[in-house]
Amino acid sequence: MPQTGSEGAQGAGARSRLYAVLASVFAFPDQELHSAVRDGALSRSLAEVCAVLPYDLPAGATAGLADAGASYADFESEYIRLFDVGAGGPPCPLYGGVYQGDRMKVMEDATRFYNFFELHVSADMRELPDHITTELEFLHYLTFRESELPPDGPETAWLRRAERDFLERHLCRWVPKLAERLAKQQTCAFYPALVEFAQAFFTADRAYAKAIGDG
Amino acid sequence: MNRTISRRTFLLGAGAGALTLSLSQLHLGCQSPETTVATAPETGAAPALPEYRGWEDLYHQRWTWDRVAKGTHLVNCWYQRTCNWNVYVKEGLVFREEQASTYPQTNSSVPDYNPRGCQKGACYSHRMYDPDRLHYPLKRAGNRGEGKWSRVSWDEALTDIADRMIDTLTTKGPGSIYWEFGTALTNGGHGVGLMRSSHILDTITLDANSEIGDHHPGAAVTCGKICFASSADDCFYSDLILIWGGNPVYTQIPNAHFFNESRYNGAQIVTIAPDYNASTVHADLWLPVNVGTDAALGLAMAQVMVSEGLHNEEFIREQTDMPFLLRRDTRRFLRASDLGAKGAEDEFFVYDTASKRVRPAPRTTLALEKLRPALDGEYTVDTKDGPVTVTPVFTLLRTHLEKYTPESTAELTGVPPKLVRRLARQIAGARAATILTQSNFSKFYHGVEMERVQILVLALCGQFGRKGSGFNAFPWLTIEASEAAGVAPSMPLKLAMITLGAQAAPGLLKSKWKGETTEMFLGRAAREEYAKGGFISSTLFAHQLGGLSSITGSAKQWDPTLKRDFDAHLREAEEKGWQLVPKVAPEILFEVGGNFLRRWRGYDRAIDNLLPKLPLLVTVDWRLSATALHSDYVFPAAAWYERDDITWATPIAPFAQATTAATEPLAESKPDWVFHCLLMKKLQERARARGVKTFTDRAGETRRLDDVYDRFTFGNRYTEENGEDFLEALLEVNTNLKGTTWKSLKRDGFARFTSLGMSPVNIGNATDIAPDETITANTWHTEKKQPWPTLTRRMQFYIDHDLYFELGEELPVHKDDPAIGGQYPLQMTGGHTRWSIHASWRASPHLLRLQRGEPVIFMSRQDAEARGIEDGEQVRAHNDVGSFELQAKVSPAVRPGQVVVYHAWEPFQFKEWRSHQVAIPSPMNPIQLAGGYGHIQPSMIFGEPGFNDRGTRLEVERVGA
Repeated sequence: MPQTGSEGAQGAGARSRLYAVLASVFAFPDQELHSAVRDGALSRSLAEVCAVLPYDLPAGATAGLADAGASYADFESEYIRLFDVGAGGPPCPLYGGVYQGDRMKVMEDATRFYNFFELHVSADMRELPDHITTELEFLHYLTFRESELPPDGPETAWLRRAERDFLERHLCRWVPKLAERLAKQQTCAFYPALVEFAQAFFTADRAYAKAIGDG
Repeated sequence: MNRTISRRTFLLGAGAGALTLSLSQLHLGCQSPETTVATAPETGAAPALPEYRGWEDLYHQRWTWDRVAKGTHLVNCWYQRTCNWNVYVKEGLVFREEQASTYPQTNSSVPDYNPRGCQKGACYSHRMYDPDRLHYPLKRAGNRGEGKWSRVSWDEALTDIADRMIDTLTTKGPGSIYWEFGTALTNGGHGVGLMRSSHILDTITLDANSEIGDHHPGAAVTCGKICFASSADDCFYSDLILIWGGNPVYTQIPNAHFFNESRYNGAQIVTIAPDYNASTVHADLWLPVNVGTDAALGLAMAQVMVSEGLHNEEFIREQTDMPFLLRRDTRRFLRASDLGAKGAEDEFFVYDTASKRVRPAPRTTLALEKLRPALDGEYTVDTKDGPVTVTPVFTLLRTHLEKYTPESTAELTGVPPKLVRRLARQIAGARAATILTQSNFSKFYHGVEMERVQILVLALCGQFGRKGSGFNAFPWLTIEASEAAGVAPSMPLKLAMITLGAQAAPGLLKSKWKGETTEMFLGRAAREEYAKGGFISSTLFAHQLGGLSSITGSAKQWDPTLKRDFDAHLREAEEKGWQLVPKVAPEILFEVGGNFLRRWRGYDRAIDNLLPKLPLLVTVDWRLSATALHSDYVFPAAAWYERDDITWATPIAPFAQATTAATEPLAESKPDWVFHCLLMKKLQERARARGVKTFTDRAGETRRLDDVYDRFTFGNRYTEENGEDFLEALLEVNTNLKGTTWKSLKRDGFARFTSLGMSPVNIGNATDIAPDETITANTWHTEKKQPWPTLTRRMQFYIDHDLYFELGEELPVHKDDPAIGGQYPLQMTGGHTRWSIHASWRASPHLLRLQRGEPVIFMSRQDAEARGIEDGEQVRAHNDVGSFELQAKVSPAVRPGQVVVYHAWEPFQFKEWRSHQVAIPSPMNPIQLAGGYGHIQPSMIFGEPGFNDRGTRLEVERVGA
């Protein structure tokens, strides 16, 4: 895929980059992520991206993103406990359909979005279509394509409408509920802070996409 | 799958750098309809963007799918099992399923099987994608049960486990490695994996059947077998259906229509149950019996039948031990060994009224020919001890029944005498009466007697062998080759089966020469195999080694009629070789398809006593069960639509059923066949790497360890890579599904059994299977006059075993339910639930929202009011053994004095993870230790002592009261 560097697309590029970074950070943690959180590399990276977003996020949105606990082993165990494994299911699964009633409808809806833009869930990864990383990658893709286009063309409007709809029908619907569940957990600050940050970003990005897409 | 996005480092470090498209969960490009493999476009060739107007454009694609596969559910729903589903796949995911409804009608005079399925199966696609689902192998990182895990690779986990197995095999021996398979083993196809692993390694498989309480001890004692049942459509020929010890509207959802349809053919349905349950709602008559008094009720009916002369003399003369002569002096059967030094111990006598002589009862046939055995009277026989008085069993029974008149038992049972008489006469006069029972009475302390009495009631009236009649015990019908494949030698399967057949042939011929039936031969072969110790009672394991002895051995504490402690009885049983008692402490325990830390009554004792001493507990499951939660390693199992396999079945719905790999297994999950392949492969690899070539088996023989994978895979023929080839080969050598190949089974989803095959469990059904006829169990006995597989070769109601004499149970009796749990006023019963199959759907949001959403205890309005308990309040139930808290569901359907907690709530659904099972002591009844007596010997799935729970005493109080 061609790289973009045009000034006009900088905003879309930043949004795309942020979706990609979030997708990578919500994925199963490894030692590198733990180190990046602890030494502040993640916070710095996010701050750099945020600085070039076409809108402002709330002050202090990246607070707490450096607290990942002392050891990688504990960090990994916490991820597993919070998101992946638990008696009767984990307390805060990262699957959007869990929070929205009929899970199958949610997964089908997400899949239809992906397929419409000729994307397919990877057979190698074998993750589900309503997992947060899959949904984030989809928005990464849409905004990436947007970054390649002139901001006032019809295709940009199509993409913005899709971004708006997908955020409204998926991430903006369920991530606040995820945040509520996480708030009830005793855990290190990182993941609750990450979800708070993501929530703020989705809210702002939906408003941005809606304003321009509807226009 | 590696969910770590490979470019994370790049992404984190490239805040201000050039933007690159980074996808790992999604792919660009076209997707094949058959697979989820997507092709990436050429670099730089971004696809043209479609015009997106709104989400409504996408919604129109909702009812589209890529393919439809056949599927079923490998969970053990037993009596209602086998159902054929169309599974709709889109984008590599199953989005919905629907009942296929393609079963053929057996013949035009009976209803068909369509559709099959229940609400659990109908939401399985949701369940398989539930957040419960495990995605990758886990290694315990905290204390057992703490819920702290680290993620490991399959290879890493298997390497550690294989090394520890090698250490254990070479130091402690294979007898210290145990497999627990519970209720989710497929048995029909890839379930062979477990049996074969255990067979090759000479390790121990726990026989969970008796511990579950499905061992039908009354059927075992009376009929010499437990596996016999008729097809569901056979009840259309019944004119009287007794639902006695079951609630099929809950637990046989796909079969229940047959019972209701039978009413349109003139059948009456009678339920006998303490509670006004969902099946009773549809009955013509309800006998509301007090908990635990069913034997008394049945004996009262028998008394009516005998006293009014309603019994079928011809049938009981031919098919039962009623005419067999008993010595008055010893109360034992008159045997040939009583008459002379060379006489056989298993030759018995009748008094022939035609010739007026004592004559040997026929042994090779039930046909009496010219014999006219007496059912009454006293006769004198010259024995080697001198003349003794003998009398037929029936005479003794007649006298025995006098104390069970409807009037004398009415207060005990709660059933009015006129109802008892009415039903007794109805059964006797019915064209074809059948008892639909499930594995309920096995779960009573005195369950053996309850079931003996049920069979007695039908046998007295000759209600066996005719279409629409008979007692349904433990239904089982499976692909016979799968049983043999577990122990077959390592060679092409066809050749392996021929070899096994050749090995068995001399024994079979000898058996035939002795006048035994094939059923007897296979039953004996199964007992002999059991005696080798590779398959051992889970109940006795729990008692001896599992930390439960303080409760499972507590019978004398509650049962005032016992003269000896349970352990004294157990010592006797062991010394006399009646039971095989596990002795070797487990070093490694594999949970592969079960959930013993949910299932065991008193599981909390195992957590406290067994787990601290158990070095390694490994679980394979698709979710974090109670057992997985306490394990050292947990492997993610593939879902039932993600694997090819064949399930076992039952005669009730006599169809072998396929499930197919509609999609690839989610994340890192794998089918259990693959688990076994990979474990054996790693074991072989590590043995070779460490230079460990052999180990010593339990018999002291040297076995190869460095070729276990080669042998497991039949010489690398059927491996983790080609599981379908194994299924194909299995069906090629299988004889009881003629004309069926894996290809046809996969296409159709099911195939009707064509015969029982040479299987020790199937053959208990003792009947031919014709393509256009319903299946009626035991016609080989009633029509072909083949002997029953018991000591007397008849349905045997008199047991002259020392233990039966000691406990006063030589004839079927009623014994009061002991106050198990202590002197408390309420009796807890249970049953399989409508809303789950075992624990698999207990945490399903779909099913939970159809009920109260949490564990409940049903109690009567009267009992609730007396305790100031309102519907929906939290209550604490307690007895001398334990306590637990849950919600009260006040119901007018429950009998005063009874409380009901339905099956299989997970402990973690209760406060402090203490389920109702912690208050169930489940004392084993010593009578079930009997052995060394013809057919009364332990075997696979029966003949071992069982756990029980029904009738446990409790008090219930409002939390905070």
